[in-house]
Amino acid sequence: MAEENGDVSGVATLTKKDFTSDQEPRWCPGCGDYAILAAVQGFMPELGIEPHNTVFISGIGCSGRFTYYMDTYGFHGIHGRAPAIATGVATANPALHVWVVTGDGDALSIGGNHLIHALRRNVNIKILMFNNQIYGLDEGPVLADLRGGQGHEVDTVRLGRPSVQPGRAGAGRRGDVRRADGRQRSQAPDRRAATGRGAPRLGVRRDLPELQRVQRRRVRSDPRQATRGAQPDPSGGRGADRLR
Amino acid sequence: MRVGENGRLEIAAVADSDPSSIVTHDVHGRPSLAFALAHLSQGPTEPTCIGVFHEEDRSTYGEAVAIAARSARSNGWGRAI
Repeated sequence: MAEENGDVSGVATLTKKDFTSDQEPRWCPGCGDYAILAAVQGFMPELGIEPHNTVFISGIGCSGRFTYYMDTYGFHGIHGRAPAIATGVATANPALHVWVVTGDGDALSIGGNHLIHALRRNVNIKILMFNNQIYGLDEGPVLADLRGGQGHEVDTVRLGRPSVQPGRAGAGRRGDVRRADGRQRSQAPDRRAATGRGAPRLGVRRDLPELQRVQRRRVRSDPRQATRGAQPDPSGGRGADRLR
Repeated sequence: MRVGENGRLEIAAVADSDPSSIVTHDVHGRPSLAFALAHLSQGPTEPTCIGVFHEEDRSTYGEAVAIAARSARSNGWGRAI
């Protein structure tokens, strides 16, 4: 059996261009996804793993577009199932360097169980989760990792507590769990997470300035949304615990 | 950062804290501390932990599948009848 993700010998010098496809990235203006894409494309050559030995697998959402912009093998999967697809790819061909690109909606909500089991099994994949704490592509429905206070329309209605994904993964004795800030290019991702065995989780926090601007405008035009947050919780806070 | 009276982590001045309550994070240590660190912030304006939460070296799913497949082949399983 080929060595898992580790054979980097005999590789010609790679550059960012080798990992950049001819597709024009299209996200909202100012979206943190641009910074993450640039960071990953700039970081991959340092690993010394050739594009044809690399696979990016994504689910649904803004993050799902990531695979088109990487000049590697890629698979734009179905909602929340990227870890399951990646499990098959990594198991069938252990020589491949398999990355999962997902968002907090894709990974923590509809794909929550797939994520948990990929981590539990310690599949040899790297999971890169873009976390804006909202369903950005759907313009803002409540999401598992929403914490409030970001100017989103849904901030005025808190339903349950955030899942706090690094904690969920870390407390379950997963292989490797880390969090980075998408605005700090030097933090995302790092070499140890990218080359280690098992299923490291790298949650990258990012902003959605365009959506936040739209949401703030909606709140201003509808005073009911602005005051909704001031209403007392009829459960006295217990409801959030039950929903958790 | 220190461990408060109720066991929750809290931000505090070192001068006001019992040295034994100040948290020292070990990525190879208790996963419960990683969990607590991840729960530290409840909003974008609160201090948020960045970096490695937990690290553990253990066998991968692919390695286990390879061992199982080798074992099955050595027992003659999977051959055409």
